[in-house]
Amino acid sequence: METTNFIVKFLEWLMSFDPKAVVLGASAIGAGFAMIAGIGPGIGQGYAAGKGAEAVSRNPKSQRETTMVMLLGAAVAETSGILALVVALIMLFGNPLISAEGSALVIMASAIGAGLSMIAGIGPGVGQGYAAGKGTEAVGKRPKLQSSVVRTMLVGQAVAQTTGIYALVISLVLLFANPLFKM
Amino acid sequence: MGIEGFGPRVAFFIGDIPVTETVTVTWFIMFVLFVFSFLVTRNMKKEATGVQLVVETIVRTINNLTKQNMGEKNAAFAPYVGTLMLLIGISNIIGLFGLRPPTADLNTTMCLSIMTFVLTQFFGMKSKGIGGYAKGFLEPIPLLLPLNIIGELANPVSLGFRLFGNITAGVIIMTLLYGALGSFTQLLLGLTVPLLQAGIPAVLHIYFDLFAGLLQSFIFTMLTMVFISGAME
Amino acid sequence: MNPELTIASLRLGLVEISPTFVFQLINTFILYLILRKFLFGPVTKFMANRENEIKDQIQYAQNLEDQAHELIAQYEKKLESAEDEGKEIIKKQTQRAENRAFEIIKTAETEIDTMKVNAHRELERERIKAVNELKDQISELTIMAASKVVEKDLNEADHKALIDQFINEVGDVQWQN
Repeated sequence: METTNFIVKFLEWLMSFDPKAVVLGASAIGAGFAMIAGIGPGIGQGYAAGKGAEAVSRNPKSQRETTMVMLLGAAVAETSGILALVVALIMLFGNPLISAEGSALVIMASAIGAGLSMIAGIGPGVGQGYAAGKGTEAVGKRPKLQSSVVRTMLVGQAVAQTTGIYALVISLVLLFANPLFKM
Repeated sequence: MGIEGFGPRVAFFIGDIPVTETVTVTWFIMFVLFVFSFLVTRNMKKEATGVQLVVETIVRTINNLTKQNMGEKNAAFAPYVGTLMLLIGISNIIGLFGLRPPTADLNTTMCLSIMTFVLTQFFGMKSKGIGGYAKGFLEPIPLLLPLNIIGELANPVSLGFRLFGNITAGVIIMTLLYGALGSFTQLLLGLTVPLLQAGIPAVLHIYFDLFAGLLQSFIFTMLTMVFISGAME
Repeated sequence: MNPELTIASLRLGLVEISPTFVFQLINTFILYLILRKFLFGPVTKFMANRENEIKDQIQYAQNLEDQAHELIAQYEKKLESAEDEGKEIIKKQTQRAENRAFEIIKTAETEIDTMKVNAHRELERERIKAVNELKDQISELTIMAASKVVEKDLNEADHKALIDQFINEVGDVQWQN
């Protein structure tokens, strides 16, 4: 009982503020949460870089192709971080929730939810980085196959991006086309 | 020095429709490319020297890239691939010249990725027949149909947002940096001429505009080629 | 990006779908047509033409080279057969000459043999004749000697013995000639 009371008290205290301030505060929190997605690409690209160094040390003649594949794969692995950055930027510079009609509580929660949703970017970041690393390793072993390895790697990475896109879609829906406001 | 927002400024209005600097910069790039192509292909000599050599190298590289990634029979895609590569590449770099990159506008990037999406579906249907193409979505299990559809739709979304996010991030960081340097100059040296803006941003420009810009244009082009040729198999 | 240069200060949203989308669609399509017509079309065709020309030239040169090789091979063959013919002729002539020489030598040898045999026979005949003549001469001498001595009384038997002895001695001396 005490817990319930505490939460209700907290929410009432929140609502005592100016709704716009509450929404903006929640946007700030959401923007911060969104950037936690940076964990994924960090790990993934680090793995790719390590595999690249290993491949070049094993086969110094393949340095050019290996570096190219590593950069390609790492740039694609970056996507999740970029998507999270986009959501954060939206919430900071083009926040559609300020002028939204609805309960301040719902709007605030949507902002935080949109930010939390982008944390899903960790997964594709790590996964695509792993694909990039393995692709780099393969090209290091057989530089002549660069073309087909890159193709396969890109296709696989595009598929791996899907859950990140799901998260982005939900995030954008929460921000721009929120069905919860009318309920 | 206030920052009123990072969106594209409106250059003028056609009636009610705003024409932003995105569109005007794109017009500028189109004009430059048109004049360049026209002048270079007017008098082509047998021996390639100077500018002609550069142009031939560019065209040859794009042709080879297309043939390598899409197969010999799809070499006719080279002009589209080349358009993507040149347009996105130049758009991304134009930040170095003080103009706002058109690709920092979601409309541009989504337009390009939707074009790619339409081409993918069109050529997929053309080479496999509408029935065969639709059946492709039921593989490996018919139950995965909604996931396959969403996966197919995810491609242009990720393409567009990836390019947009990268370039916009660069734009915002450079704007903030210039603003900060300007404030510092005022603070530290008491000048209104932002001296500190010279030199220091160059390094970041090289990373964000040059490296990331060219890399992203290359990735966009590669993924386009992979998607279209993948749909035709 | 530099706010001091702002003429129009109205900004659209950072992430906003606006009529710009339609503009960009048209722009990209026009750019595609421009590049295809003015850049990729002409340049690709030009490079392909140049490549084909070079290929043709190389093919032409290759054909010439092949022809030259063929001709050389033909001439060499002809030369070889000419050499062979010459060698054949020489061989034949040499053979003939050898045979001829052989024959001549053989004939000469046979003649020499015949001449040798004839010479021997002649020699023998002469010898016998000479011996007979000598015998006659000795007989005459003996008779002359005997007639000189006939005044004496000779025992025919002693005389015969003396004569024979004398003949044998003379004959030995003469025979030894």
